[in-house]
Amino acid sequence: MTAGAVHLAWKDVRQHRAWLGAFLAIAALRALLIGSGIDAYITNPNLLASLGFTYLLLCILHFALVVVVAVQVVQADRLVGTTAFWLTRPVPRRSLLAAKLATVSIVLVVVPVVFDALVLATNRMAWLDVLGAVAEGALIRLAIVLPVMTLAAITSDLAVFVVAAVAAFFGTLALEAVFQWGHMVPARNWSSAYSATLVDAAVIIACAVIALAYQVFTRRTTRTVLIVIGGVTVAALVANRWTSDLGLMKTGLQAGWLDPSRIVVTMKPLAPENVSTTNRKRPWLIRASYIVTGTTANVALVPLSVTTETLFGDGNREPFRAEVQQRVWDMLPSPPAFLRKDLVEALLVGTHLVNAVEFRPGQQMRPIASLTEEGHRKLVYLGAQFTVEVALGGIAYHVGAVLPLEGHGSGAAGDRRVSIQSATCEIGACDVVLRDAMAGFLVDLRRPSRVEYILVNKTRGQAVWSAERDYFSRYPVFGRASFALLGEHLAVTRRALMFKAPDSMPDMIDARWLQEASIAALEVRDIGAFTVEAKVVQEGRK
Amino acid sequence: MTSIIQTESLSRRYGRTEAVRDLTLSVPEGSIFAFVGPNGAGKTTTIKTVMNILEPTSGRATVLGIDSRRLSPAEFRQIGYVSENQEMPGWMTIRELLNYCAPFYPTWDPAFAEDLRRRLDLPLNRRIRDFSRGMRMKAALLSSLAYRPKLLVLDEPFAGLDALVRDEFIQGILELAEQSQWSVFISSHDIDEVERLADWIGVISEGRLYLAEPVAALVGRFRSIEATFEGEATMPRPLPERWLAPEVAGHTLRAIDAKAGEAGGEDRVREVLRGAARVEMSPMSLKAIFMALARTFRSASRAEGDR
Repeated sequence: MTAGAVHLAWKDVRQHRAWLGAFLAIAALRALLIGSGIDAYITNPNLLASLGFTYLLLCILHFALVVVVAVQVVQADRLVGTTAFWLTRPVPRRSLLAAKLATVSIVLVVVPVVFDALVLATNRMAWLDVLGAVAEGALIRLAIVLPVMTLAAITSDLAVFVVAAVAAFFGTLALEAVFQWGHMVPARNWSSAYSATLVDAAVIIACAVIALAYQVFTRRTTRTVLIVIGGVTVAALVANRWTSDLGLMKTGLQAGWLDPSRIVVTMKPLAPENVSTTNRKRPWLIRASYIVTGTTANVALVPLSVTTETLFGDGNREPFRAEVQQRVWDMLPSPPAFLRKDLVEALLVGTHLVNAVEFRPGQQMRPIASLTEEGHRKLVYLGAQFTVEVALGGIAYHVGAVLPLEGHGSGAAGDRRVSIQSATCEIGACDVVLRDAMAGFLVDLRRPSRVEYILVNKTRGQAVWSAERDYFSRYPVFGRASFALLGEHLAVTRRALMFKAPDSMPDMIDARWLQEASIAALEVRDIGAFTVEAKVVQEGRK
Repeated sequence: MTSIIQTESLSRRYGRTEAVRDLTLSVPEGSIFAFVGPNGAGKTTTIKTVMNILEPTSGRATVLGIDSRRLSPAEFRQIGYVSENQEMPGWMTIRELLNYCAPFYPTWDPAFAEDLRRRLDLPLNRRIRDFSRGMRMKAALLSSLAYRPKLLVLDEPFAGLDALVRDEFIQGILELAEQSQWSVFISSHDIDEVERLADWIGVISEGRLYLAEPVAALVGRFRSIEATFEGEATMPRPLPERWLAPEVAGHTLRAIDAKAGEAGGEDRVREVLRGAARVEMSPMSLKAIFMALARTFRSASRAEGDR
């Protein structure tokens, strides 16, 4: 930046110092509110609601000031009309453009992003999350601030700007409607949707900079408006039609998670339950059990489908595919979340998760397949050979923070910080309010894992799955709700969980049990479905 | 004679309205050129086109030898511009204005700026937005003179100023003109305002330039004629083209001859009015010439419009 640009930028800063001061004060106050974690110490719901409302108000003010400051800074040296002071002064247009971009970028983008980073850092977010959130925050803020600047550059004052902004808004909606007409919108997965969002932001930024620069250098407003219309069209097109995945989202398994190539499934066919009822018109069920070996310790797998190939005595082969009615899967509490395997993490060694549906290696599963041909039945019992491919769905988990019920300590679970806000326990049940904070991202789907909570008594070797859960802060006190208003990147959610003793053991949770209890946060990651070849061990009757 | 501003067939349209038509003008270097014409004549549009605030629809203008559309900071460092339409940074004080402007001009003279400020009686620490209109114009003048520009362009600088402020303003320009070798291009709709200043004059009406010449030459050649006849006065036929605003009342004929002051001009007048008992020719003030020209141009324009 040249000395001239610095001089102009400093003039803008001095001219709008009141607005800039107000903006920075609000940004700082908001960062302080969210960064301090003050809500973690407040249990009074009314006070929390007031705090949430205050925060929302700050977010609205923050956004309004972003618009006002950007417009004021640009229109301080008006680019339309013939009366601006700078027009007949030796002001290089390059310097003017650089000054405006620098002032707005530093105040409205860099400073809030630094606040974001501080908030994330003080909440002990992982540095990779901080970097990602900060980069994404800068991109999104630029994608909002630069179009505002461009619109300000082609309007003479704030009132005209507002009219133009409303017109642009409805124009954009109309374009969106055109691009979403009928079945034109292509199917996109999460990753490509995230790519589309970021590409769209980049397109918006590029178009805005081009239009702004064109207006500064030529002051040909009509042509600039045409560039803006072109840019909006391209942006709407990208937003609605972009399908390529740029690989910007973390997908797949990370180190330490499941390696599907190491999985071996051993199948053990069992005798049919009811041979006499088997006939051609009534599917005949085969039961079998399987053992999964070779996986990492913290992975639970369930079969989703089975493909078999039967080798007949005359050398013929017959393939067969069946979807497994996997009852274990269906019986999971909603939402299906956590299946504990024995011998996983140190925390859970010897701990029996009493009221969760368990899934153990070797557990019987039914059915592997439905056979409809009588000939197959005979062959099964005559020892026909099978090759079996099993499609598996899996959930992997890591044990994260383990927090005592009393106290305000916090710990990391996956990509978030977890702390207990309050725990109200009585014999047989425990209500716990948790606060988790994480780096918020533009597309929530970018998050590859979630966190589930269990109440653990390590001494007794027991753990309880939450009987009820209520994420009553769906629109959290701080953070995510205000994202659209350029909110902080720290997303804070309050979760109310209720743990209770199973009906079969109503006295399990007593006072002493609670004294030794802690909350364990488990990071749960859906590892998707994949196919492995199963070894078949025949032990059925022949 | 070197021209500091030159236009060639300059035109500027606003939609269907042609604000400036085919204007060819040359402002000599070192002159104080008054660009006069009634309101809406096209003065401001011409100046804005010359200053590259507006683009010409056709034709071209050069300033300091550079095409107006290519005026760069290097040229603007040599040009001072004061206009009634120009926005001033009202949030600044005079001190801040001077501090803001100074870095743009390598030739900025702080001592001269302070001297000017005192002479223009501008308070250092008051915000410009709190100034009266006259003080704002003086502030604009101050910020346009402190770097001793080669060319000073003043667009209706006296509009709305009271007599005292106007006098101070003119006095300031005159004093500076004596000190510096510069050119001044000043537009006004009121000839009174620029009569004391100008040594050149250009008259524009309805977008057309009707004359541009030294004031002395203009005043020198214009004469008001009053002829008294024995009987009823009659208009000579054909009416000389150089005559403006001829009128007959009883025994008297009055007219303005645009060339009577030239060599042999008075003889030509007497030849036309040979039947008159008495012919008196007297020099005219610049204002009287301007008024006569303005009326004539307006009549001609209306006649053209009627056709």
